[in-house]
Amino acid sequence: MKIKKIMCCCGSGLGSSLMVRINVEKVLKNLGVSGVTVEHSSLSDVSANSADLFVVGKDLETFTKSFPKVITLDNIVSIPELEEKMKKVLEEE
Amino acid sequence: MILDMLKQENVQIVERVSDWKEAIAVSLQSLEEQNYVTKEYGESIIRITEEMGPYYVLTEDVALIHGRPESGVREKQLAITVLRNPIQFSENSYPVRLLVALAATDPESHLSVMQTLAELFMSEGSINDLVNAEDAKQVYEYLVEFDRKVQS
Repeated sequence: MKIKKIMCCCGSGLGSSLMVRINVEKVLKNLGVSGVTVEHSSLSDVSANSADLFVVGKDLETFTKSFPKVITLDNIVSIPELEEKMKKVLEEE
Repeated sequence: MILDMLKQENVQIVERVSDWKEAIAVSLQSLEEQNYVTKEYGESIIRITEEMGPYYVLTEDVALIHGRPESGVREKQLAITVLRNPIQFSENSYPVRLLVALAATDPESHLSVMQTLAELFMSEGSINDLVNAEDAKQVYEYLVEFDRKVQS
């Protein structure tokens, strides 16, 4: 399935989720990927259908278990980790 | 611009705090005094921490202390606290020396400030410069200069 929408989530919906969204947009640009919408939200406002790919911090891993495609970040501020994991997911398409 | 949300008087260096609850209180104190947030804001952050753990500890040395807008944010603003002695928010979390208190009114309007913070938080060298700054003025000026570079 082609990834058209990426949702970055955290508990409050305005802290680390926004930061990760900024980093996801940077990584997409680095990788030369276009046509993907990136949004951020609190975990309580999303469901498995909200996006094609979810990006969350490790602390929220248990809450996103039922979601089809999830990237979990060990270090939420790290672009290299995010880029490596996104590359993998995008190559799977 | 970080200047839109940060006043020099809201940057402080603190020698030590006795526990993580005090760290939260100290980081929010100026925002409370200036009515950017209500007392309830800090209380809600402590409550969520007790339920979920310290969700705002982002990496080594860095905590982005924040809660939900509806939990007592009146106006968006930042406050910065450098702790000379690190504090741990839980047994397994990173020791923290830089507390960035964020009051956000909605999910989006602090986007440009978060762009600067995202760059800052991933730069170990910059975090080190900040936590080793001589005084609050130096911390503030460093942030303003860092912001200028990111936003240009």
